[in-house]
Amino acid sequence: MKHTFAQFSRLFYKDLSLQWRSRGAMAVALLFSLTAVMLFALVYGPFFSPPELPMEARRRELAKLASSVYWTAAAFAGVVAVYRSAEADREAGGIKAVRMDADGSVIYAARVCALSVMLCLTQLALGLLTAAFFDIAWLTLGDVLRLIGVGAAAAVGLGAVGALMGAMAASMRGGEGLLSAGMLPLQLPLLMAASKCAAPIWASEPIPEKMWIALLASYALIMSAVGLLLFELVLED
Amino acid sequence: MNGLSAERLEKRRGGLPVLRGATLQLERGASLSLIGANGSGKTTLLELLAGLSRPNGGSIFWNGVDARKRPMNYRRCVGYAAHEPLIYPEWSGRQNLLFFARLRGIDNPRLQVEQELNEAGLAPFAETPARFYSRGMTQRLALARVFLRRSELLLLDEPFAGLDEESRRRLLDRLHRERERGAALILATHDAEISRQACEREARLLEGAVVLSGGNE
Repeated sequence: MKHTFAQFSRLFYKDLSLQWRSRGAMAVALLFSLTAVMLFALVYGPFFSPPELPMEARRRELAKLASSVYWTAAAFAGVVAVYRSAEADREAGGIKAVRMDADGSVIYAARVCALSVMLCLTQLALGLLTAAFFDIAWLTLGDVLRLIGVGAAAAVGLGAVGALMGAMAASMRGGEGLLSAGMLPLQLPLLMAASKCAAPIWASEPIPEKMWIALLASYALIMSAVGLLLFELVLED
Repeated sequence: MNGLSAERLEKRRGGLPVLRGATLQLERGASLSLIGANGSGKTTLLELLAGLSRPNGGSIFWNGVDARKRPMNYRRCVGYAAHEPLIYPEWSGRQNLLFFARLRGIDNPRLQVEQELNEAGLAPFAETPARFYSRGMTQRLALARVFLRRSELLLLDEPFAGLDEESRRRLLDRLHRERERGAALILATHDAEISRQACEREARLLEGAVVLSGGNE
């Protein structure tokens, strides 16, 4: 058990370190996100909803828009992070050497955790941009914590799908195409749940439909479990 | 059986058979060179023997450990050098070796890594990212990673490719020492001279099966 945990730590560090070294790719993803947020803010702003609406209704409309733009940009950034992570393993076959000593489930768990950390950091930057460009100044500390919770659950779900799809893409020619084509539809339920959960929080309101929270949490759990079971098979060719 | 026992291995890729009933036996401390034309299935066979790829048929055992049923126990006995270097090019030579040494749980990883870097002649370049290494240096790093493991079974796919004369001589010497230590060796090569110098026996892969096996004396 101690050895397994030590292996997990090494692999987690390896994944984060290699992601950091390829931070140029993440910068591109953030640039895209910035462009998307700016574009929507410019087109819909500076008054994001009819001024004749009551303040609460205006907040709600704005929160819906902010949430959709935020998660569209987050989905793209997620694909870039996953691709970079899979590419680092594929480039000179490093993953094969790792497999000689570490079980697939440990490799997968470390990859999901590293991707989740990267995605959380990306989402944090993206959240600040969204709040700034959509002029959202009414969030309380509680709202921010709830947004972090939704973001973290979504990051685990995206990481769980991404680690599996990244390994599949890395094992075949033209895998990048498969990654985008396979990952985005698979992410759809998660992105729907995350944006449905986040929209009322952006408006500083409680989440009315709890099924979206259940979907978000169960997606992350189920995908992580599926990934743990299938990762070794995917790598085995 | 003590040593390697691979029976009737079959592997298909893209629906086409690459290996058709390849069978190999190798005792501990013995050595075998694997000869065959391009596309004969040498690399595929080594990947199966390394436990990294799943055969469509047949069985592989090392000292009684079933590669299918206990893959991690099996793989931990094996040192595998492939065509690709199996390293992380963004990391330096030292970082690569330290990472793999720690992942395996080797005692005194720093000491072991420094020894391997010296042996590979890479100590002066230990802090340079591996992506800046020449082909020969990358190959030496790849082999250092394998030797660091002190494996019982060494599977080396064209290990002399890209090496200069001095490095080839050093590698031959190292292979002899590894065998004296008790490691078994399977070496895939096109070079008949290397095959004679490094291994006792020779096996030829033809149409996906091991069809000839003879002494190299």
